[in-house]
Amino acid sequence: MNDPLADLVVRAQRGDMSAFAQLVAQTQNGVYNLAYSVLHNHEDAQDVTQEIYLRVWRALPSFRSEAKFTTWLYRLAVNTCLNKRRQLRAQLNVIDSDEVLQSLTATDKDPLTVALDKERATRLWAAVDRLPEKYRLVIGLFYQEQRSYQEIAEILSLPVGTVKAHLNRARAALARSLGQDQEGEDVSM
Amino acid sequence: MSLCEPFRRQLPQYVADGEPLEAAYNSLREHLRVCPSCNAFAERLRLVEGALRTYPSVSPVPDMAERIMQAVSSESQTRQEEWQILPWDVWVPVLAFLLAVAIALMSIPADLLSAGAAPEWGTVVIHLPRFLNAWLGSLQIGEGQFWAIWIGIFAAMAGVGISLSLSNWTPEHSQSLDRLETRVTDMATRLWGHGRRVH
Repeated sequence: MNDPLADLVVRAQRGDMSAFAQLVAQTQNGVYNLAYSVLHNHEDAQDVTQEIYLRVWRALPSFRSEAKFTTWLYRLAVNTCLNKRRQLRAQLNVIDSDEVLQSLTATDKDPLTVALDKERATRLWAAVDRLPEKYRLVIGLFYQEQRSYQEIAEILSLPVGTVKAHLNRARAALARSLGQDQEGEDVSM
Repeated sequence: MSLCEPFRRQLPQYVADGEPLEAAYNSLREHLRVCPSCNAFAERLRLVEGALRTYPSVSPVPDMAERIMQAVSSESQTRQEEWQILPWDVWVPVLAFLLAVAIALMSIPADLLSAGAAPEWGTVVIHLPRFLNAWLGSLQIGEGQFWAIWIGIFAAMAGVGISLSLSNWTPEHSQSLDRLETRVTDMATRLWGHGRRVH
């Protein structure tokens, strides 16, 4: 498998800290974004990102190059983030069910703020933040990290069809939330 | 189920794929020509797709990588230090026991071994007492007394060490053994990984 990070990975597996530092530098943004998309808090995302790389360092000797390094890294990151989220769930008081998709609405009803595309996009991103975890994860991996359906399926241990279904349900829910915004806009005009 | 429902299910993927001209979407395209409601939904999906493609990344703090590397190197250092400081109540009894066994083996009279032992062993056991005899002669102690004292000291050390470690058994000691187990497992994993890479 042609992995652009393969050489760095082999060196890091031999204990080369500078190679590991380069791996961190090249992958930390993606891992941090993933952590933030699950935890919604910069401080927790920083803590968990650090924890993820510590786990990567410990587990690196057992990494086999049968999978791409980033796929393995993201799989480990997703598991760590979900564990962290389970610990924090009581504090966050988050409802993670598909019902949220049906009830997804924009929080700000001011018609002036929905007039511009940029603001509409901002509201959509806010709506993404309110999606259930499994949908946020696939959206983050697909649009932010630009991972393929196949890679997302490997990272999340899901069938490719389920990944596509999650994405489509999230898109449809977001489109519905946009419809509610537009109805509000029309009414107020 | 409304007439629009199957088309609504197809629409998100259709829009996300850039509205391809595939024959599989012929009936959807036909429906969009006559259904204003689905057309409006498709329009909203286009807006969603555009917004998601510009979904902003969040940036970690500038020194994130530095913090990570500090944590990693501090952990590596701790792991190295742990190798050097095995608790005394583990290594003292083990060392005393091994020494006692080694000395007991060396003190076996040569004539007992020379019949059946391997030639190299016989050579070692036969020559060592001869060297020690010269030294013991200067100390004016008999060979038998010397070995009795020597073995006694090591057996006592082993006994004291084992007794102390058993009498002071606390959760910390369990952690020490856990660490020992972790190290052995870690080493086995590394050796296994190295072996696989070599093959």
